[in-house]
Amino acid sequence: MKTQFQCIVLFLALTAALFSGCGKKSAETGKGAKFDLSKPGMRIGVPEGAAAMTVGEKKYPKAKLVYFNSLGDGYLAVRSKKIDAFLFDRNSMMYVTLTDPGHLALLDEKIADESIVIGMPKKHKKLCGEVNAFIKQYREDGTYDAMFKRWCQSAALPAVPDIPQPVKPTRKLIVGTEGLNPPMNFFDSQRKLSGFDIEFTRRLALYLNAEIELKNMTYPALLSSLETGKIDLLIANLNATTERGENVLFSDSYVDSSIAALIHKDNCSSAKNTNGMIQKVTDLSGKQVGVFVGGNLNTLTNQFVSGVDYVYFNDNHSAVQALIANKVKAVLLDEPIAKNFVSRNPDTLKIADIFVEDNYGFALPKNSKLRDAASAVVKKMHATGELAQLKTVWCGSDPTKKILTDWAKKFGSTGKNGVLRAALAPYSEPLCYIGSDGSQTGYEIDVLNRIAAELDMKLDLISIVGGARMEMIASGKADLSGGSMSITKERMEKVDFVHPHYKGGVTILVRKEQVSSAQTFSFQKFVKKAVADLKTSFMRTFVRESRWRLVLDGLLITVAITIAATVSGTILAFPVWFLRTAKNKFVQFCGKAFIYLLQGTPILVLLMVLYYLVFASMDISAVLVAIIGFSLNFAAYAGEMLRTGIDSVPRGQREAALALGFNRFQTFTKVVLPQALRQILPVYRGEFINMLKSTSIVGYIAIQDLTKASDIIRSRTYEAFFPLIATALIYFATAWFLAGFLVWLDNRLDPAKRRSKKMESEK
Amino acid sequence: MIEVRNLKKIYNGNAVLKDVNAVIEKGEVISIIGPSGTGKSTFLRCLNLLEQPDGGEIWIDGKNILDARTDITAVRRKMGMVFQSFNLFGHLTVLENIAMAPISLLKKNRSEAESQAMTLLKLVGLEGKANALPQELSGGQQQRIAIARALAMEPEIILFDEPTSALDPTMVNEVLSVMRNLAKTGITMIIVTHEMRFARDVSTRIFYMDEGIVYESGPAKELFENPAKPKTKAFLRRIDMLNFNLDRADFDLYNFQSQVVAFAEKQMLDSKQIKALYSVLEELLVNVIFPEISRIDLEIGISEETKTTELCLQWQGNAENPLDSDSVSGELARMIIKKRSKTMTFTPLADNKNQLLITL
Amino acid sequence: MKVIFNRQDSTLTVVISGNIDTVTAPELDSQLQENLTGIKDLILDFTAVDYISSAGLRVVLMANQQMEDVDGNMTVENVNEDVRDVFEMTGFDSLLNLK
Repeated sequence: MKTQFQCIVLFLALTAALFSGCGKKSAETGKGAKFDLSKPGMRIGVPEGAAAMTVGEKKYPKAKLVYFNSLGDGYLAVRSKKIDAFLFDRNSMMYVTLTDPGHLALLDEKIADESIVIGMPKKHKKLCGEVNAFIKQYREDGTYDAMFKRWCQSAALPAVPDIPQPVKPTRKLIVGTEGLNPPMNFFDSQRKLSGFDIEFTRRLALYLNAEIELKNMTYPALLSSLETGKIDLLIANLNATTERGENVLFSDSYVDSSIAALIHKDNCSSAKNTNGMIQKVTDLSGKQVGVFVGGNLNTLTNQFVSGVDYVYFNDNHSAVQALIANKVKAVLLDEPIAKNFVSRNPDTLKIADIFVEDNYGFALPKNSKLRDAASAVVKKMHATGELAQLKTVWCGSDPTKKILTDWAKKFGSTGKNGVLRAALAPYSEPLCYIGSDGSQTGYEIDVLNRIAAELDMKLDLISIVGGARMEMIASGKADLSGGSMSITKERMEKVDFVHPHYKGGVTILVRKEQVSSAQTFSFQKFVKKAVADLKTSFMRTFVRESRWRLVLDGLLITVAITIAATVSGTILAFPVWFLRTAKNKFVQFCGKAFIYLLQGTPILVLLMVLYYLVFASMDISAVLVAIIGFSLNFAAYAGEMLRTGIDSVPRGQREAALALGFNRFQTFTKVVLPQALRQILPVYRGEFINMLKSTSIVGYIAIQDLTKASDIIRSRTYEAFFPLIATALIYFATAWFLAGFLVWLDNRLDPAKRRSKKMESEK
Repeated sequence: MIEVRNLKKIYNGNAVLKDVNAVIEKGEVISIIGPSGTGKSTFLRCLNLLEQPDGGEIWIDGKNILDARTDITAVRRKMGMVFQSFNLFGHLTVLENIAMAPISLLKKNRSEAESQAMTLLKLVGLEGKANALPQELSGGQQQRIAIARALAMEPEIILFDEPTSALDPTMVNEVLSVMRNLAKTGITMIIVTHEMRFARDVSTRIFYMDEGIVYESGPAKELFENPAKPKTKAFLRRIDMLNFNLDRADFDLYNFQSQVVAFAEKQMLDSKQIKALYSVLEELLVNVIFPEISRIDLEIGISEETKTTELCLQWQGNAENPLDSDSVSGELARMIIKKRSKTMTFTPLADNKNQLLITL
Repeated sequence: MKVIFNRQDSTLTVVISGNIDTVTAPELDSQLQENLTGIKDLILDFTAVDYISSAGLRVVLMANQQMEDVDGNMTVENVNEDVRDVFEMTGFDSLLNLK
């Protein structure tokens, strides 16, 4: 009793602490006091000996200055709120905020100007001129921009690129740097010097045809070494101050920066950033963000922000559903797709930010002959402005204009150059999606039709799930694949891309904050609305565009696969049982291996292995593959069921039959099997129903079953509730109906039921 | 009709049947009795090849059924079997159980088989249960139906493997009475049973199986009244034996006595009887035997049924009854022994052996 | 078997408990011999004697003889049923003074 009491007390204490902590937090931020560094008594940290120190002393005389020996200490002090701000170089601290966005932020205002330069001893006047020339060149040819983007705008520290060093250097220069200032100069995981400054040094070395010796030391040592000429160049994010300039030479500025103030996130005065609302890409850190599983948007986003909690979805539509249901805080989408979603849900969704460019192309197997021809078509369309025209039509708001052009007719193409099998994932309206007639349509289909027509090939469109785009190419089941597919470096290693036909960008889709409408609740109104909603949902799901046909077709496939697999699986169960119970050890091992293998492999994996690997080169119907896969799986389970059932029949039954004069076969079929089956039937029925439900994954091998039909309808109606419930009910009804046969069988085998029937008929 | 020669069966390296020989004539009713684990059921099951013998021959109606070419199902059709655990087919009604084999194997049509089944049900007294399921019946009823099922095939021989062993004592009689009636019809029956009275009443001959062979066989009345061999006797009289090999040199009286007392207690002798036995043994061994004889074999047999104790002493030596000695030192002992014993028989045996048999 | 001696002048009471058999009789015998000198009245208390065999009988007989030799008395008291049977079987009941 005592321990229980203690536990309760502890639990209550923790809960109180938790809640009090929250309360305390909100009390601090909600005060409404404006954050102003020039207020008297503000605690401002400055690095000892750096330019920022002088800035702090001069600009904030009323503040309480705290001097730090190391930058890390200063950052920590801000984080733990021991100081209100820390002043230093913006680029360096930007990196810090990118790695700890939950706690640290930069004040928007510029505290002071900075000139980041190369330092040289006074004697190197000629060298200074050469360095300046290099700086001019590297700014003009875009090297600086690329370097800055790579080093100063990413939370992940890249590696110094492999810049060739001079083979026959004409001189040797000693370069001094610090190594404690990421991302400008720091020690990487291999304990080698890396950073912007290091890359700059190498480029400079190449330009000057010099051999470089890198020395690292602390800043004061660097400065004195510079003055005494012990080092020739100081490349360490040096800020050109007048005091320093008295004793050394400065080059022109080689990095643009300024003095900034690092503050704690809680003090961010911009009201926009309260309550964790997302407004720019860096706001995504620490939040749950939905993203398409087969895409590359997460990789792209990671270059801008770290610590994002990605939630992966099989299609964009599901991700947006999750967003509407507030299960994720944002969804990453390509621009036209995001716009499409917003236009459909103007009250609930909005675009928060657009960042980064993303190009779409069609994927082809490596060294495909089609690549050049197809790319030529796309480039032509681009040049003539046709591509832009198509884009306007498809991404526009007039649905009547969104009809596929009959390119084949226009070009008089008869398909004499063969069939182009194109596997597309149609989940990105308006680029590539299932239209009202159940076939694929969209901007990309239009372009693809045009390509096929010009190449005089017949287009064979295959609809797949997004995750299968690469597999379809790899297994040779398609000549081309796509569906808002981004061109990425990783993908380019495995496939070739046609010239990009779409230049998009990555958007962040978020919910609009709901306006709470204070309505009086009326039960009658509620019921009326619910019924009306149900009616609209029903119309939309089944009636509109004869969608019920989709459902029926899907259902027929589902039932066909299930029944075929059950029958062949049951037949197969007998040889499996036979192997498993054989006296020969080897044969028995084969039986066991088969059973363990098939019982242990998830059916989805099995189907994909069969479809993409085993039957890859064969032109075999996906439905047949599904039947084979499910049959094997079912046989493994049914074989074991058979074994347990037969084993459960008491030995005496066999002996009695044999003693009467029945042979082994008669004994098995007349005495053992009927009794075994009665034991097995309930489990068998359960496995059968399981299999019926398992068939819902055949969408992964491009079969359009009942679940896929439901997916398609959902992607068109943007509804979650009704189609899903309806699908579930249809599965249930089907299972009940099909299993009814097994119930009949059970009745036939149950002697009690049989007897009562007989007695009924005799009456 | 059935001739068994040198039948052998080995289980786990243990020869359950060593060398079984038997001849069974048509119309005989043979009861096989004996202690548990002596191969009675095994022998029976070899006859219809539910067990495969490891050696020997079984001739039924002039055919060696152990020959690989024999159609064993044809042989089995002529033999019916009734099992200890009934083994009625659980998925069929009683009527179906009985009619199933005649329809499938004797090619009878359904109505013929069913009417025959009803006749058999009448015979065993269960015609009202034609549509019952086995699990709805008591053990005794199930067994009677099992007999009807066996009879439906019109066999020449019926094998019974402990037909009443799994039955409640109250139901044993209903089955035995069916079997009694059956025996009167002249059908050959071979019954493995523990019901001694039944075996005695109903059988023509008894086989007593022990030591992996038919240890003793004979007409029922004779075997039960005058069993010739010791193990048969012991079994029938339910005598339990305790054997000793005693040497004067290392004889420990207390140790010996405690073993005897434990044995006697198990045989449910009362304390007075135990004390008497104790006393006789002490007087006999210490004062009568060991003074003259150095080594003896002693067999103590106590019948749980009759509560009589039999001491059988055997030794090598001169053919002299030690109880006839007139030594002074043993006089008191002899007195006590004589007063306590019912009979004392001295018999000289062959090979210089002597036997003294004392009953208390 | 345990033996306890109680001597009062010339009367010796011997309390025996347990079995008097081939193994224990010699012990009884030697102890008696040690204590019999000068005794005219010997009482053997058999209350706790469970069993007696011929070996024990001999010891009792000897003691009886010894008392007769000195014109003394020996009484055997409180024999149980089994012991009495043995005495009767061997005729000791008429030989001994049983109480």
